[in-house]
Amino acid sequence: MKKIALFILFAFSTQTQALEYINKSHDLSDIAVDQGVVFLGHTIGYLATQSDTIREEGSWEDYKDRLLTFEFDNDNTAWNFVGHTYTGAQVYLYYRARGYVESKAFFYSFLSSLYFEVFIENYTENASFQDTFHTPFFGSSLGYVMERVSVNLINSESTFNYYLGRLINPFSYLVDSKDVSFTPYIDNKGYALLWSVRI
Amino acid sequence: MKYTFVFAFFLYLFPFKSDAATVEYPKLYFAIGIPMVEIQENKPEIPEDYLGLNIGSKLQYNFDEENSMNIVIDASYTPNRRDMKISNDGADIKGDTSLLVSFYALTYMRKIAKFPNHNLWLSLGPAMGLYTLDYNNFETNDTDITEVNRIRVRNHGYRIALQYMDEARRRFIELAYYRMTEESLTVIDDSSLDATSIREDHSVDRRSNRAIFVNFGFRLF
Repeated sequence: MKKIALFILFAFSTQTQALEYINKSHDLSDIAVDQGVVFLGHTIGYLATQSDTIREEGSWEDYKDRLLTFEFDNDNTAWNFVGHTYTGAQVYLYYRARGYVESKAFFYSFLSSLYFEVFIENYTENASFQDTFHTPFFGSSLGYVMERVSVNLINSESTFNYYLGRLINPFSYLVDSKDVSFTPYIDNKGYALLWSVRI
Repeated sequence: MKYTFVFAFFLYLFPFKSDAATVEYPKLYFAIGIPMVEIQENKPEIPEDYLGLNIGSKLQYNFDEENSMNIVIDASYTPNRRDMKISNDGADIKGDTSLLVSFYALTYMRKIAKFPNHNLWLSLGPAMGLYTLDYNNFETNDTDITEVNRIRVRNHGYRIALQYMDEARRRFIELAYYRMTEESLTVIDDSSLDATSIREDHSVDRRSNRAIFVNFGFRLF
């Protein structure tokens, strides 16, 4: 019930001011934290979506043999060009939302993609040459467009457009993060993440 | 491939050594274009063979006003190439197929001519990549390959291109030419989501393939 109430609160929240991406400077610890967040997200996503493959094909012995050996993967066109491009766009949008200028957002997206291929997916298969390049190159291109489209939608007068913009670019909530807070809630009946948006 | 990748990676890292104001970051370009791909002497002939789209991406690091280094991706898709015939180890396959080409190149680019508000650039460098055939039907088939299989052939070669680019290097029109040699052929089973490799043949005849892309590109950032 709490989750439903929170979802309703989220759904009916409105923006308090125009959304605007602001480039910031980052020190090494900021960059390490952001790279770590993306790495963690990639790891969780991989464990959640590839559990069968991990169980059947995962091996630490092969992990060492495969390390830094890139191959062309066998995946189909839709996955290599659409799936990875979309993932890359969201990673790019994360870095943009954290205040990295476009070129740096692209660069750190490249590194995050590389880390995923070399250190995570390497557990079940060789690092993919296509994925390492498609994800940041096409992903950042799509992310660049998505950022502009979502900002226009979010800043429009239309409520529908506002939510569409947030849906396209969920990391836009990090841009005006002073309006968003997350609080873990635990009691003897379970747990919930309280997601509050200032109206 | 490992070393090409590492070289490209460190080339890209180079401008990030410093955050000094004078450092110019690499520029990311996006391009769309028309592909004309000749695989094993199968030239595009009927209008349907030309109905394809090329999506390109280019990361360009400018050393100065006249010299640049690029990492280039050209990915083109033609939904239906009629009567495409390929051969491998004496076995022929002929039929209608989709054709996907994804080529990757590391190129050096130099300004070669100046025009009012525009410049002409020549770029050249090594390339590698794949072409993928997904047959819809067969007219001739001397192999065990079926419609649920995908044929993927790895190539290496070079890319040479002429680029007509504005002075601010924001937009360009490009004529790119790839000359590629086949390395290995892989047959992939697409009957499940696993995309399992059925067999890989390294003894593929060293046939040559060519591709021409006419691209219109623009700088994103």
